[in-house]
Amino acid sequence: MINFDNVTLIYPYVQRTIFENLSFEVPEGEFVLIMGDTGVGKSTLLKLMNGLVPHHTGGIFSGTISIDGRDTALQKPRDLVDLIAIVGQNPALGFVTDTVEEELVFGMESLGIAPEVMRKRVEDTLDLLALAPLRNRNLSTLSGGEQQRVAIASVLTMNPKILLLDEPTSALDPIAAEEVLATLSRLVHDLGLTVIVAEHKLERVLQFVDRVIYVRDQNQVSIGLPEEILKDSLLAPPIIQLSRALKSDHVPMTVRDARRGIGHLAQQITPPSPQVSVRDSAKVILEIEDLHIRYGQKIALQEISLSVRAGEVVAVMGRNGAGKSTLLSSMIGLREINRGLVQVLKNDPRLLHGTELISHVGYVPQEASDLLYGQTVAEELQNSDRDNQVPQGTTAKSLHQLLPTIDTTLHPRDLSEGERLCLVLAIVLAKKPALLVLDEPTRGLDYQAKERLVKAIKGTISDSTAVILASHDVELVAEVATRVIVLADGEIVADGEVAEILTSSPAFAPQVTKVLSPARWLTVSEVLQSLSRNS
Amino acid sequence: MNVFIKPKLPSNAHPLSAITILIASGIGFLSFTWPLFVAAENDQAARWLFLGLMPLVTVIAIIEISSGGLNVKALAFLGVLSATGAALRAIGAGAVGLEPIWFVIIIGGRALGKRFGFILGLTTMLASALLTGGVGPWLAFQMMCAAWIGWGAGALPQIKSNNSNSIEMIMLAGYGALSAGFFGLMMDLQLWPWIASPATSIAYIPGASVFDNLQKFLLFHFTTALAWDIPRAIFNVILILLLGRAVLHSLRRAMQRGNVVINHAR
Amino acid sequence: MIVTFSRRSKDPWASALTIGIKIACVTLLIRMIIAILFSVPGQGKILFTLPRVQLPEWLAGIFLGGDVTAERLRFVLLESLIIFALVVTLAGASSLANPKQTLRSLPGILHEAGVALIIATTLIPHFAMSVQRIRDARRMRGDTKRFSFKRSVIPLFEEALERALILAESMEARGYGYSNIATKSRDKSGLLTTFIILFGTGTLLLSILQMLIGAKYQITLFISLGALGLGFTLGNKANSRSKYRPIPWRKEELIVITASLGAILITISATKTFNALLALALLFACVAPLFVTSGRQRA
Repeated sequence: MINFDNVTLIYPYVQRTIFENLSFEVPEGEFVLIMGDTGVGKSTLLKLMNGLVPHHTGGIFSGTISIDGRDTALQKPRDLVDLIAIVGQNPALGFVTDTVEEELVFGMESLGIAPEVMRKRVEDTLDLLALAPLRNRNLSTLSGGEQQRVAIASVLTMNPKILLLDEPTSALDPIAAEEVLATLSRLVHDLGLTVIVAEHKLERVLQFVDRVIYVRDQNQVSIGLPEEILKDSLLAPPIIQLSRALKSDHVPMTVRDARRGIGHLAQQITPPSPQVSVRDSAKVILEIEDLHIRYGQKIALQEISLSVRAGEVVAVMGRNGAGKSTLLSSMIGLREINRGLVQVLKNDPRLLHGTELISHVGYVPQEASDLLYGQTVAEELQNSDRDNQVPQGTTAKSLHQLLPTIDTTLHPRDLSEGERLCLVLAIVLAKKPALLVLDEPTRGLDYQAKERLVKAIKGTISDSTAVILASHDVELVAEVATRVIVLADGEIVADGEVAEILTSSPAFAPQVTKVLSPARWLTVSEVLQSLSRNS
Repeated sequence: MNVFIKPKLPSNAHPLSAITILIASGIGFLSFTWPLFVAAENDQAARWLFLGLMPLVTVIAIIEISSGGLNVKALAFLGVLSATGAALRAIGAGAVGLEPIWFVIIIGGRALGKRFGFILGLTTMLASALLTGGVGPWLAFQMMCAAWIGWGAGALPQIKSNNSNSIEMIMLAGYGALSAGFFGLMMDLQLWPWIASPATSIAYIPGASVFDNLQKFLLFHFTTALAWDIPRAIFNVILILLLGRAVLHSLRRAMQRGNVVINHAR
Repeated sequence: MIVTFSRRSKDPWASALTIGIKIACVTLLIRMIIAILFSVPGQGKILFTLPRVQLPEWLAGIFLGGDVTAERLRFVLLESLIIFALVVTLAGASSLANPKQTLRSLPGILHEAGVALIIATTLIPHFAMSVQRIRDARRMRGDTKRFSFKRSVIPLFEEALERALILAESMEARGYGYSNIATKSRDKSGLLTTFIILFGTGTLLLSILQMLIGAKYQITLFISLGALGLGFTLGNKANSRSKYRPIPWRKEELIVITASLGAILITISATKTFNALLALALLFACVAPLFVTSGRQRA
């Protein structure tokens, strides 16, 4: 179905060879995963398949790529669209119309399809993706999962044989991600589509996958069955890491697989004792009392009361739209408050400004690049030193701790997501704020980058600082948090220690927990620690 | 074995297209200046014909410029800059002569070249009219004028000297003042036959000499020039001198960045 | 300001009609004022007389002040009404069309311009939100300056640029500008189209020159318009879009259109300008092939 023959791709502007003499074949009707580190070329590989590279991006290209017999070099991507279609990383940014129905129809109109056929296809696709009740909704009012499904539907109406998706679940909470992936799986099995997904969060997608393409390097691209590739790959989801930690040869793809294969091995080790909770005498960093926030008629937050002490790492979890971002931004003084009290170190953050503000609160927004305005990384570092009024070189030092190999002549927007996050972290941490707030830091991060983030966060914990992060990346929360707060519809529905909350909720349980329940394990590192203690 | 190297921004246009655009511009120019030259017999037909021809001519210009000549990056730039110009016009709506749209067109044309400046003028004017509801028979004329101004900004000479930045800014500011006057002149010329009825003595006389008609026109133009052109020119100069260098620099940087490894996860 | 802006951006083009009417009224007013101020000596029932201002020698032929006759005023009024009707019709028509939808159904040859304009119209409403976000980010970085160009505008611009690229990719990925004619033959027909359009434009120039000097121009005009129409249709054949649903006419829209068209027709026939009608009709006939979307039927 998809045939790469001696494909070489070079980007002259950054002087990199992305792929060299790459050849492989993908058979029809399979669910394929492309995995690899950030920046290695997963997106590029995907876009090579439908011709966006190099038609849109430029580059020196040689070799042949044929899709179902058609050569991508001979036609522009838009002419191949009835055969192969792509859904980008952030579907909301790619919407061209205002409503769901119009978006579905846009592609078909471009192909010149007859109106009666279009109407029928709209109905079919709406049903296929469970979008019928959303038909006339405005696109900006949809949730992340719904937007993703609309984006898929909008290309599906063109009846392509191959569907490419670039990180379809990065912005979604676990349940929405599951829905989307299950839908894709259904398309493969019921309709015979070939679906190719580039994804970081392997734990979400592996259970659906028939074949894996592992991009290690420009020359090392391996393609094979999931069990083969993941047996000894560097990148692996928690259940496989767990299997390796327990010295098993089994390569489980799903939680059930893992339970059957390695569950018994864990009985030999003792689960961790409950963590020592933070002393009540620790300094109170953040105090919120009876917080109410409304946007017009809509209630965003109600009756929120919590206090955070030094040494805590608090994870705020909940469905998209539950109020996480609102809560976080009210903590740092960016929101109008209707009722209640927010205090950081006994000061109202709304009244703080300049260096006083940033020594109280450090904020890493969802769009990390909002904070950046320099033309090179080096310039950003200098600006940061100046703004934070710290000696020159402070920010650079903390950046090097996070990213020892960074090239400071690059433009910040040319960095990978993980690198950009580290840069922003370095800038924000330069003033050593008492409260560090991160909003969804793990979008687009691969496992390595996440490890770095975990290390960075743990490095800031002291007896005068606290960390608050909003995330629906359960694995990250399991690694780094001490306490979890769950929001739903603007209210706190759960607030407790991380082990307690994560192990008692099916939606928010990390993979290790699900495999090894009812014992209260959270992460592979806990297992490893326990093993080393035993031996 | 296929090897392509796709160029970044410069567009590869067919020379025939360039000629067509030249002729279209020529027709455009005549559509403005016809009252000065027209013979008496065809006068009535002329006024309606030119009114309808102008949109046609702008369509031809758009077709020839865009068919195959612009790559994706150029289109993205075009979209962003048109959006900026339109948004600025919407925000500063109403103030007489204070039109930030020229800043966008001139700096954009300067950064990205003649061809781009030409179509930038067209799309920005169109987008801003759509946004502010200023659609009328004058629109195509405004578009063509803006296109010429954008083209001109790109056609200005490159400065190669020590003080190149400041000299460039001064040159652009001067161009901003001139183009403000030019725009006012052209739009008045377009308006003249329509707003000065033949039953007035300030109207053009079909078949009269160019000199006579020119006289009448200049008197007509004088008042509006004071009210609109001068504030517009001053505003352009101020904007360009204050913000021009930063924006130009930013645009040129954005153009150069290969930006080929775009990591989008947001 | 941001609130009003985003409220406006909901449906800015709908206000085009009101704006058009305002402009038309102003134009009418100015016309009458000019007519009153700059008289032409002649007979007629004098309504009132303005003090005559003597202009210098070199401005001979222009009379400032003087008699204002009823005949002249009526003549000017009649003309002004035609123009009024014209402006209002155009404004009305533009207020009816949702530019986003119109842009999407642009004929194939305008494809690239369509991409740019769709990007522009999609980005504009997001500017306001981005501005707020970047303002928040600046505050959180400890920035206390009121307005820093570098820190607010540059991130805004760069973000807009990246979004524009994503949009362009998304449109491409949805087949905007799709054509199932093979590239080689498309290139050939593309060259032919360019030639024809060049020819059409050239003859158009010729006919205009003829008209300006007073010669017979109609034949050349016909030829040029025909050539252009042919060129457009040819260029359009390659990529034509179909329409999902014909946009239904609402009652108010019909009323507006009939009223203004009626006004135009009445006033034109009153002044008997046959040439004008003919010219207009010809132009419509030429532009129409552009906008007739011949949906190629595909099952």
